[in-house]
Amino acid sequence: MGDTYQERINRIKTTVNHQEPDKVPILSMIGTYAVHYAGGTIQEMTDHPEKEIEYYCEPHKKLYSDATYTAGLVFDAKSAQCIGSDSHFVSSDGATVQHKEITPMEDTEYPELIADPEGYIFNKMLPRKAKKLAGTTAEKYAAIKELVDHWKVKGMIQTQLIDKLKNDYQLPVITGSFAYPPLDYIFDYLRGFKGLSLDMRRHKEELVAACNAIQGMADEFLGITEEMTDLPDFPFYATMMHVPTFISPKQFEKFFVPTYEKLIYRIHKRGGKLIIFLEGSWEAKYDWLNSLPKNFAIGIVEGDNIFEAKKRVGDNITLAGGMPLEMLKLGKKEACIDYAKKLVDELAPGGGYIFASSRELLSKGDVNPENMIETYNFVHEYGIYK
Amino acid sequence: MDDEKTVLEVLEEIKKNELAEMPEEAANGFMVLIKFLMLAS
Repeated sequence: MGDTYQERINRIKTTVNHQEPDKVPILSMIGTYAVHYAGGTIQEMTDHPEKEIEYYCEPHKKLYSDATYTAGLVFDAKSAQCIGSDSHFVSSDGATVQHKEITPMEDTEYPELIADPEGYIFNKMLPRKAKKLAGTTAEKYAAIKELVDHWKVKGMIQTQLIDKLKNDYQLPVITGSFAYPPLDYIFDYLRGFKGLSLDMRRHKEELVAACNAIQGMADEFLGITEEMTDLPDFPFYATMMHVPTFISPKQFEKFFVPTYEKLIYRIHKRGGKLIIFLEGSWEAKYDWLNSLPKNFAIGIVEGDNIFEAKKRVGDNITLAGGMPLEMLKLGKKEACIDYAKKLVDELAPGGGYIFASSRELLSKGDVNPENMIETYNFVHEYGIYK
Repeated sequence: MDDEKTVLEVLEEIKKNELAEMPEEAANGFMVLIKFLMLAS
C-alpha cells in the first residue's frame, strides 16, 4: 500500500490517454455504504458533522484503490429539511439516503420557464415543493440561512475529508466539479419521468427551448468562466447520466446532446477531462460516445457488457467498472478473483481501463466487504503492466 | 403579501448579509452551490 498520491494520479492519467501505466488503476465508488461500514448513522453525521470524515475514511483503511469517486455525502436529507422539502429522506436502516421524485412543474408553464428560468424555478416552482420557501420573507430567509449555515460547516468538513484522504491514505478524489445536462435538470427536478415522456411528444420545440434556457444555469454550476483558459487534467468533471438510458437515440440527439455538448466542449477546449456514469444501458448511444474527442472521457459502465463495450467504444473512451456488485455480494472469494483477473486480462492491455465495481455502493448489503477488499487487493497486485 | 420578497431576492440578501466575510468570487461560487442544492432538494 505504499503507492503515493501522485503515483496514483499518474496511473489514472496515463490509462485515460490509452497508454499503459505501471499498474491497472482501481476506482472505489463508496457512497453511503461508508456510513454502514463504519457502523454509523446519518443522524450522527447530522449531529456531529466531523463524523463524516471518520465514516468516509474508514473503508480505505483496508481497501486499496487509486482514487475514490466522490468524498462524503452531497445529497443529504438535512439540506432538503432546511427548506421544508421531503425530496430526500433517511431510510429505516439509518444510513442510506433515498430520493423521492418531486417535479411540480406543469406542462403549460414552459413559456414561463423559457422566458425566465431562474425566476420561474426559484420564485414559482420551488415554493410548491419546499414549504418553507412559500412563507413570509422572514421564513424564507430563516430557511435559506439554515441551509447556508449547514453548508458552511459541511463544505469545511468535505475539504478536511479530501485533505485527510490525501495525506493519510494517499487517495485522490476523481471528481472535481459537475457537468449537469440541461435535459436532466428538467427530468430530475421539473417534469419527472412521466411529464418528460409526454413532453418529448407533445411539447417538442418548447422542450428544446427550455434546455437552451437552462443552459446558463448549467454553465454556472459547471464553474468554468471565460477567463479560465486552461484546466487541470485531474480531477475530472463528472456527469451522472440520468435520462439518456430511458430515451431513444433520436430523442437523445434532439433533446439531450445539443446543450450537453456545449457544456462538455467547454471542458475539452481547456484541457479538462470528463467522467460519465453511464447509468442503465448505453449500447444504442455508442455512436455518440465514439463521436467524443479521443481520450477525453471516462465512462463508468453500469448496465452494459463491459467486454462488448471495450470492443465498440474502448478505443475512444476509457472504460471503468466491470466488477459485478452481485458477485462481490454473494459470490465466493475465488470466483470474484477469477472474474477480476478476466477483467484485467481482457480490458487492461493498451490502457484505457480502470477497475471498479459495476455500481456505486450505497447499502450495507451491497457487498461482502471481505470479497471486495480481497478482490481489489488482488487487482492491485496482479494488474502490473510488464 | 405584496411586500413579501421573492426567493431570488432573499437569496441576494443572504449573500450580502451572511457571506460578507467571503471574497466575492468565493461567495458567488457558494451561492451557485446553494441554489443547485435548493433545486435538487
